[in-house]
Amino acid sequence: MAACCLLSTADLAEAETVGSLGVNLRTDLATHTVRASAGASMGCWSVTLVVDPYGYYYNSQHDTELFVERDLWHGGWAVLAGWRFESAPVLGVRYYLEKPFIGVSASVPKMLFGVVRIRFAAELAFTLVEHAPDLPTSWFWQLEDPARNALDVGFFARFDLARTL
Amino acid sequence: MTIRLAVIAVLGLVGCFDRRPAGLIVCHNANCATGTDPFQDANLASLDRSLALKYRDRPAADGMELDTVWDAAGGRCLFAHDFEHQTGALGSEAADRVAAYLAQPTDFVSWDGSNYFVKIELKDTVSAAGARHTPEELVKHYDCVFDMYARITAAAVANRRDLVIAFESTVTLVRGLPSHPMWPGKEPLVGVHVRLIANVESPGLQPEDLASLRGDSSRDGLDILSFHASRIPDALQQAYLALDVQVMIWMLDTALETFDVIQAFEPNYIDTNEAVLLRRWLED
Repeated sequence: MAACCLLSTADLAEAETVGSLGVNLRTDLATHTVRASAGASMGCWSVTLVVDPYGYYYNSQHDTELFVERDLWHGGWAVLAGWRFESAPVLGVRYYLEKPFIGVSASVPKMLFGVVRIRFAAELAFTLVEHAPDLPTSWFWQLEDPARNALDVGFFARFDLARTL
Repeated sequence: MTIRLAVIAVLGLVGCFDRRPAGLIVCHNANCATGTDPFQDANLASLDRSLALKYRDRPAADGMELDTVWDAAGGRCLFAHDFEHQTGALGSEAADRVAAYLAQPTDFVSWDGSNYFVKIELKDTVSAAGARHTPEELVKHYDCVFDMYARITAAAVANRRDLVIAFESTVTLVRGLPSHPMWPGKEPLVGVHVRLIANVESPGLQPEDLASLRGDSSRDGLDILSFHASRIPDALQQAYLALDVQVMIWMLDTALETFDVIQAFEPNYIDTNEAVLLRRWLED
């Protein structure tokens, strides 16, 4: 199956669909440390939605993202691309940040008969635009020192419980 | 030779990325000479030690924070951070110490020379139990901090110091200052500048504050936002960077995260209990 993922999606029709629920953990400050995720995978493709219960509950920074992942070959390596939609409370309103990101991930061997799945990932996020209804919009080229303030390298880990749907 | 050049090149690159910002160092809680010790905050002995603090024969700091508490039971304006550690010293006594410091016959009252920054903070509780100001108590507290302002300003003007004097409290309390009869305005005298500071987490901030936060001192709005130098999430940090507002970073113990936040924010003011440490980091 992994080999097919290099170039084709022909096996999608035959592949099983696996759903997952889990946590997304990170130690850097790009998002909150712990977020919740839900995903589905079919063949070599998977899609994951990450939500931020802590941020929503405390009305602090919100970090919500959606990303697609594609397995590359045996060993569990994959590439990913996604979009992070962030907001932070600023001057009495919410300030929104749009951040596309790309990255690579690697899995460790599945545990407990494939129910527990762990992946580690590295990402490069790019702040495309920051905006709010009553505050100025800042595109990345308007930021002071864009190379420093618009690009972020991050690392995260995912711990998922998975089952065939 | 090749290895030596490579090492120099790497160090040069590290130097490029390890840019030190140029913020003014302010003595947090008038207690920046001996490190973080809340038991020594806002008392006259700590204030004297902090005013006398030197680094390379120059004042290590660029300014002083003077905390005030309105003591409702005693009807006094205390120079104190809180009721638990108050020593009975008055706000006027602290102001007189700073005024005497500015009157010294020296070209250097701050690291940079003859410029000085004073932050007068109004704590929003009036008893150890945490009661808030009544309207009458608030007016008396405002009277007190404007009296402190007058004492310090008189010394600065008489000795040709360039003085920025800023009032900090909750957004609500700070917004009340310009309505007081003793409010001097933002630019009351040549070389004297008055500013207003609010903590970024204090309720009441609004988008209309942006103009004054970006330096428009023709308005009686907030001028500076203060942040605690903790692990500030990236989005919040990026938002304030993009808005290009004036920022004060305050801290207790300085940690790696503190330096990271200072490098990211490049704050206008660094409010610290460890003035020499921060000065060495900025200058060396």
